[in-house]
Amino acid sequence: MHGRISKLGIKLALLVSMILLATLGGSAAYVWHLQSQSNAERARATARVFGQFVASISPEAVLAYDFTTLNEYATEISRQPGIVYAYFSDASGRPITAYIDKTHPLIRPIIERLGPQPPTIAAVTAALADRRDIIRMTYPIRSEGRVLAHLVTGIGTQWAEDESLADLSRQGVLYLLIALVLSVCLYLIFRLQVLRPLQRLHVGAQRARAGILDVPVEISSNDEIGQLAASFNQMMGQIQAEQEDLRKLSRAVEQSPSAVVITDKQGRIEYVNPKFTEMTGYGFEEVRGRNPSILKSGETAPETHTHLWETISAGMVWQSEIRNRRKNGDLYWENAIIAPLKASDGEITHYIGLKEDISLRKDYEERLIRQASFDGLTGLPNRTLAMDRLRQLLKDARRAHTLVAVMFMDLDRFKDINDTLGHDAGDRLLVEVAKRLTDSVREKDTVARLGGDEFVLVLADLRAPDDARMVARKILERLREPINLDKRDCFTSASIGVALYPNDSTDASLLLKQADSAMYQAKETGRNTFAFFTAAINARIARRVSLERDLRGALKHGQLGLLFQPVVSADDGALLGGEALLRWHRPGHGTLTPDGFIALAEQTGLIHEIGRWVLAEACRRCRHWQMSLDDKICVAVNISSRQFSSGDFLLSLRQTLQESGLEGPRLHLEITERILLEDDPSTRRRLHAIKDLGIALAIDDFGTGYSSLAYLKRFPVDILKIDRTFLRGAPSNPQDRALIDAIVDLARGFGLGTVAEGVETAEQAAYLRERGVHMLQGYFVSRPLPPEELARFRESQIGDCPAATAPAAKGSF
Amino acid sequence: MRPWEYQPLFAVSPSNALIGAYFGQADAAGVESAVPWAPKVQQMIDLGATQVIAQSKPVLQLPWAVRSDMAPELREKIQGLLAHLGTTEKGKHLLQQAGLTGLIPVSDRDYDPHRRIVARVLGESY
Repeated sequence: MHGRISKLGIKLALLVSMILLATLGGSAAYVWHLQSQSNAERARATARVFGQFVASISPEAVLAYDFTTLNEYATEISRQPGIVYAYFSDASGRPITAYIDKTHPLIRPIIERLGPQPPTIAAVTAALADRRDIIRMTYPIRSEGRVLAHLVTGIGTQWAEDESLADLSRQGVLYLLIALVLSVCLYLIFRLQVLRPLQRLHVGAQRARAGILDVPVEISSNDEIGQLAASFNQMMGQIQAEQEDLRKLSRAVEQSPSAVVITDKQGRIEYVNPKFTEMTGYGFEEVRGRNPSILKSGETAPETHTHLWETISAGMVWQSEIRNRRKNGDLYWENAIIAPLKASDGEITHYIGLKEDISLRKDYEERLIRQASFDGLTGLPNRTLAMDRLRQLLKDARRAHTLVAVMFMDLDRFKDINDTLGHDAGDRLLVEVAKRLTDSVREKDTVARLGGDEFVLVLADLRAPDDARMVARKILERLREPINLDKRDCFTSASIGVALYPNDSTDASLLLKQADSAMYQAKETGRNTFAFFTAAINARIARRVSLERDLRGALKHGQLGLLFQPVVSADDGALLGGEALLRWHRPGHGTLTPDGFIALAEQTGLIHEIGRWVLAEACRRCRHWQMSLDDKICVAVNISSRQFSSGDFLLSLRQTLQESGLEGPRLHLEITERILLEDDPSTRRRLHAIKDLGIALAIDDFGTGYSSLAYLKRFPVDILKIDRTFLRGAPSNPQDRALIDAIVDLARGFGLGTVAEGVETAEQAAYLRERGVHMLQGYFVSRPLPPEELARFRESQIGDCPAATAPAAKGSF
Repeated sequence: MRPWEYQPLFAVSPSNALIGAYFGQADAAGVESAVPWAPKVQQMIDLGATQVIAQSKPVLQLPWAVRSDMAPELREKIQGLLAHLGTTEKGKHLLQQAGLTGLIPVSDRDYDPHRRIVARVLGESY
């Protein structure tokens, strides 16, 4: 459009021209009509005026036969507009003037027809006589009432029309010029004001069609076109923003980590994104127009698909995990969310599916579920699953009025096998045991491993307790068969406790505890046997529960206390310190020694709290004695293996020393050989950390454990405490003497101090002193004393703590 | 013709007399011989439709007169100038423009033929 003549401009110019021509032409025709009438009338009026005037002045010329004057009159009249001819005639009508306008368009043809013959008025008027467009008018010329002559005029009506036509022609030309100029002006104005902005809009629209939306159209005015351009620019901006949003959305769908499927209302696929292809193996062209049911694996229930269509057809979102099949035939899990797409009127037009391949997650979940529910070594259900199944079986049994047996099985001396043959062999043994257990029961029964060498069997649908008894015997028989480990036949046995539903309890957890208790009963009765839960066992459990409850309140209610058994120098009997011995003043039960509750404390975890209290109280008392009696006095505290291995033991130890103000060397920690047998880096680090605090380490009950003695080299031990069992026969029993001598020699060889426990006679004390034992403890020296009595015991002593003057004696009291 | 055999009419000028005869207002007209050739006459009539039926002897006409009290010298000077127009080119051109053949000095006696004609036609004497 730009640079060429605009079609629109031409149309406008033509339209304007046509309108102008039509209006001007119409008005011209009207004017022409009026003017024609006016001209005709004017001609008649002129002729009339002239005729009457000439007629009035002509009598003298007629009377004087002045034909030339009359001829001049006729000539003058003939020259008037509209007059075709004018002549005078005498009274008889004979022409007496000769003038003829030979140039008149009506007369000229007549003259031409007449040829060389001179035209006469008579000939011309005769020729024009029949013409209707000529009005003949006659004016008599009178003198004294007598008609002397006539003035005859012929008025042409065509003249008026011709005249009007001529005027009209001139006007037409003028109008045409005006129309032309007006059209050109309008065209130029239109082009400048309308076409050029429209051209810019056109170019902008073409740019927009080519995708260029960021170049705005120039706005040159503030009129409607300018507003249109501004609206166009705004529209382009909006389209650009919407396109950008659309592109983002499109990219999001295209690059979505989820597979996207869009179908029409009939379920025919219209779009899939690359992730869909990656997930299913189907390309877009392969699935276009097809139904997503091509992915069906046949493993999803038909009701699921029916529910899917019912849901989305109702305009709701459907979500589920379904198993589909890839193009290559592989099955996979997908999490599918399918939703209807609705038009603005709410009508469903498409469906969109967002799918995620969750096969890995499913596998992982299954693995986790398996890990959470099954034992990794044997593949048997673990405690959680076993309890679930037990609860379910109890429900079934309640309905069916049948019995359920819970068997708690523990391998006898499995730890020995583990220690002697190694953990791998132990594991293989457990796997074989699991297999034999599984073979020994029905498929509907459950065999589970709780951990370690503990197994649980749940026998469902039993009719009588003897059914469980038979299974227990069968299991024990199977386990008695040798198990080949590393080409060696190993023998094992088990102890089994049995609890029955509903006879013993209706609660799953309680049944398991009861079976556990019965299992201990079986172990106590000699192992390799089974025991049913009984009332006696129940009573023992009740006692244990009561004991646990009271023990939990013992600390809070200040029922725990410490006695201190003095430790004296074997040389001179001087008090060196005391071993803290725990006592529980249990209301209604008297004072209990640790044998009556420490095992329970360890099982329930109360040992940590009790141990902290003992340590703190012993340190506090020792510090008190140091200030009141002797600043060299020491205190020994027993540490259980559970307490030693707890995570906060070292921290607690440091805090206790800091709070009590006791120096590390004045505290002796007595540990058992069992702790040292757990020869691992953690134990070593812990022992050295204790030593770093200056605390002395004593091996309690030395010689009674499974010690390899090699630990004496590896661990920073200071003192060996000779167990009281070695003193019972000493000094008369040579074997006891030999053991004592060996221990003393061993300690001497390693530079360790020695404490003899359980010294009850002077003979024993003398012997021990003779053998070089450093310190003595026992009833010969003193019974365990309340803390306040220790001062009196000190006052009865003479001499200082030899440890204070014999630093070479390692870890001395 | 005898006087009772016609009725004389007098037109305002000789050319009108001829034109009147042409248009049938008179049967014949008496005019000086140069009149038919005058342009004004020729424009109005077709000479071919007229016929000369008699021609008189030449007579003077169109006398140029001056006031009787004009000084004789001036009168003679004017007369001399007009009478000699035919002798110069300029004078001839003037005569031609006036439709005259020439001007000659006359005297009252030169009009005697006219008096005779009037007396014979009209019976009047001057």
